[in-house]
Amino acid sequence: MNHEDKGRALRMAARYLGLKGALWRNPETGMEALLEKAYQVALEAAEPRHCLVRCPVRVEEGEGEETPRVFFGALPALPSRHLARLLAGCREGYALLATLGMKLDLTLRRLMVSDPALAAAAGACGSALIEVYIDGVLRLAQASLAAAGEHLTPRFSPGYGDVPLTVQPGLIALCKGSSLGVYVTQANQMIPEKSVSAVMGITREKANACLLGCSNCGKRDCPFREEEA
Amino acid sequence: MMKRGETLMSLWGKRFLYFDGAMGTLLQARGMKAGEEPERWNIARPQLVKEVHLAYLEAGCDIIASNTFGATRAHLGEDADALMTAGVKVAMEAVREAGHGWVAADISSLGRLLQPYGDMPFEEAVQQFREAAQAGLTAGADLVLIETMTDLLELKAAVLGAREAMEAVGLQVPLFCSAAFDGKRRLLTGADIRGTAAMLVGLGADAVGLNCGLGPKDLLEHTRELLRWCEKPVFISPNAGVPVVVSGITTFPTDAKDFAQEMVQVAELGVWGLGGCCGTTPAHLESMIRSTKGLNPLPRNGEEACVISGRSVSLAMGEKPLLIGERINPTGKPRMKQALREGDLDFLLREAVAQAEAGADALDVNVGLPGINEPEMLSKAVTAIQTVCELPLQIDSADAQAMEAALRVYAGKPIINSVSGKQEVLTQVLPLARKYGGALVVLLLDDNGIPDTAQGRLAIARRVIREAERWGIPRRELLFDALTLAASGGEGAPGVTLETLRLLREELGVKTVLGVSNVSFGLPQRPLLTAAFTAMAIGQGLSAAILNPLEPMVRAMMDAASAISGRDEGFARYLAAYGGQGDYVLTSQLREQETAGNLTLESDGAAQSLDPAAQAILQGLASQAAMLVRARLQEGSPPLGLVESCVMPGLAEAGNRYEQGRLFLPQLLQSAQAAQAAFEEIRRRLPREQADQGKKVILATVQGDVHDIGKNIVKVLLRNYGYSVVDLGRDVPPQSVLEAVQSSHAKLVGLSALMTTTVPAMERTIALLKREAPDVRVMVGGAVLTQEYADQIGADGYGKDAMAAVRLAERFCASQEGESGAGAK
Repeated sequence: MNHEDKGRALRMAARYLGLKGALWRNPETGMEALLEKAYQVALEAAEPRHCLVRCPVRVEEGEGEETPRVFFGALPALPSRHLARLLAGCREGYALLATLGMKLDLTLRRLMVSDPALAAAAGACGSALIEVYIDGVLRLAQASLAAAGEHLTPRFSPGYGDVPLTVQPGLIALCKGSSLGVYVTQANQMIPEKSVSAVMGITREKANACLLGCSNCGKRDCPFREEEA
Repeated sequence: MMKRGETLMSLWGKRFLYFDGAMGTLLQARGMKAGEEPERWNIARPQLVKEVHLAYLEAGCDIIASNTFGATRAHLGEDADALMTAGVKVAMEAVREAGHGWVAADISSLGRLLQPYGDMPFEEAVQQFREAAQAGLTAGADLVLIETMTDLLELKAAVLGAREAMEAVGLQVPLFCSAAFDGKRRLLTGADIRGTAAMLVGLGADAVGLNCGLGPKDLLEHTRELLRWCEKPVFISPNAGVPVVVSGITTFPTDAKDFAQEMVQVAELGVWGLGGCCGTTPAHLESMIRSTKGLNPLPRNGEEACVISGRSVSLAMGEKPLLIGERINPTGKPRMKQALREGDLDFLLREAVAQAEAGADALDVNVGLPGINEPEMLSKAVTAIQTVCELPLQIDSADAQAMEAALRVYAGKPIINSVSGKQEVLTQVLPLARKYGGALVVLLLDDNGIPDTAQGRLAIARRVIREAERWGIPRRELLFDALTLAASGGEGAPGVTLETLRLLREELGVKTVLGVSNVSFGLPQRPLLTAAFTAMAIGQGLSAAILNPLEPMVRAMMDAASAISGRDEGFARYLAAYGGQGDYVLTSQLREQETAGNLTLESDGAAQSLDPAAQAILQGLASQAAMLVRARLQEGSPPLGLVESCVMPGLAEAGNRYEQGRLFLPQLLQSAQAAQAAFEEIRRRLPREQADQGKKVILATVQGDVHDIGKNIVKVLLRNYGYSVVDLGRDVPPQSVLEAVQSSHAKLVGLSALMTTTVPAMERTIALLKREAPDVRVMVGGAVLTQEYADQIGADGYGKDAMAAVRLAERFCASQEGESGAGAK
């Protein structure tokens, strides 16, 4: 984590805790020291790991009103308009799985007993850290694609739009979840909690390229949305 | 019981035993598609599976693993048994054709994380492993191989399942267990090599191994560590190096020749079994076998240590005197008794975390109380404590059923407290220690009571050693409790205890343990006497003291005595604990006084009128709030009056400020914690019926949902707003919520769900409650919920955040009081 990443993670964590803008830095809120401490706790407990798998992608348009079907690597055909739109024109994509590991979950659980305030703040920092970590991973992937004139589309996770969470087990298996220590529950939730799975396309169209952070997301009324620079 | 595989066991250490290599990649080379389940080929393409086995047997492998890595119900549903049977039979055919070799029924992870971290119940996992092992044994396997395990608790479930399958079939075969550790020598869920090996040996594994994850040269340090701490034969099956992705394809970089060379280094460490895992081929194995055949397995000279382990911390007894925290025990503790009666596990968790943070090495857990379902409570307590505490636990019960229930679900190798010289106790507890493993505390008393002399106690020790050895429990696993009697009770009692310690050490060379606090019973300034006695016992070589780590004087004396008696190498522990301090403060009261004056009273309008204790609560200063309230109580203020004048106004102002956006969630929680600290002081002065008066709220994260941070935050707030919260945890079935409502007579239930997929479970829970307990109100919350959604699923209220949940609870309870008042008229 460099200085810039840390600043971004802290801003994000503050937002998750309901502190808008630079409010967390205002000494009257008394939040900066707590967030700094929580950030250290989360950073020390985090054991970030990820797996990025390049897969062939095919979108099969439906006839008439029929939902298009998306074929992503070895995953079963997935009917989804949202994903079809995202992956339109892509022949390949990445499946991504990233996690901060079990130690952070257990640390948060222990803190919830001994110091709930720190636990809440460290939980928010953990949520921010996984985002910052993934952005770092994708920035590297982006850079190596750029040489071949390729770009990444935004990432899309199970549970977004019309993509059901039932995709989760297949996607996690594709990304070798077991070797990263990521498990899926019967309700298709991931453990450890600070884990993210997603797919994205590899495109030659720069217009579709990924902008990291909140700016590529359509949910403009999200309370946690990052302010535009 | 019949035995199989004895010839195989007799070969350990005489020559190397060779395991096989990867299966999946070889099947892929024969046409299996990515994503296809390899086990299906045991029935669909048995000939091709046999080809792979034969290739390994021709390479010189002794033990081939059936193609049944995932042949459990979790992966293959109802086909699991048939595919296990077919897999073992194919391997047996290969062995027959090759004319040599043994078949291991291969079993690995269910791919699901066990409760409490995940959602699979422990006993369901044991059952699935039992079925898999039973199918393998019935099909004719020579041994069971559990491999590539990455979670300590699942590993335990697998071993228990395999052992119980052997009992069911009436056939004992060798059981080899292997786990995959990462580069930091930890399992993915945190356990270390020493603790894992100790647990496996305790559970009766016949050989312990490392496989997968890394290449041979990356596993050298891992192997050294395992050899040092594991008395059983060790086998190593690495990958062909750490995989790299080249043009989108995963490849293993170590070729057959390099693999063989690296495996020679592994063999030279003292390993007796060699094999391969991912990326290895018959060529790798053949080359390895050729390179090592001329070598002789080295004799083993590992440590004869008694290791105990928790979820991720392991300790070797005897290295330094261990501090075992004594606070989780209801004897003489009304607050703990109340928590146990109410099923308030959070109180136990707070005690566990506080002791761990104060420097305990292990924690005693005793929940024995008349009228309590001890088997259920002890196993629940052990499981819950292991979610927040990594230390080894000492499971403490006089009830053999409770002991077994807790031993089953415990992750690691515990201390079992206790057995004694009483025949009935020996008969009950030794079989449990034999089956589940664990260091065993031996109380030196028998059917005639506690002997008055050290020699009398020593005689019991000798008898228990003989009995234990008869059960296959070696003397190094026994911790002898020389028994601390109150010094006030009779002349010379502590002297007999100390003399017993000396004799145990000098004559029997065994480890010792003492619950030291009892020495000061009935005398003033107890910590002073306890501390002195602890120091004297350490001088006699005491291995572990059971005491209160939150008592600074005793704790400090233990550290000082350990250092002076030469059992704290380089004064490491002593310096770490006291190196940075000025004058060491010896009592908790003094320490509190030192930190007293930090409260800056608010100048802000609304807060200015608040009582200083209320201000401390508003500022989230727990120790100050507690101290100010204590001072008021000592001055004679009525306890309930202080709730009205200090606790509630402080919390109310914090809640208002949160709602105005002037205070944020962590600060609201700090205030709540401070209120709790103040309230605990008040509660001590209240008669029990008043202390228990809080209105009951049941909280649960609904079935299928494991995200419970939000629910836990709501719990902290509600509790400190004076509610009595029954927390059912996460992934809670509707029926359990109903049962809790019925047994506690609570009138309010709070449910949380994080994801859309689990909201239907919330809806089902509400429907059940409305049908079966129509007067109960249900409030809901969670990331995906909205007021509209809450209305749709029939909830009585929606809380957008934790403070809103408190407001809802206030509203519901007020209206229910109104209703019941109206009814009374």
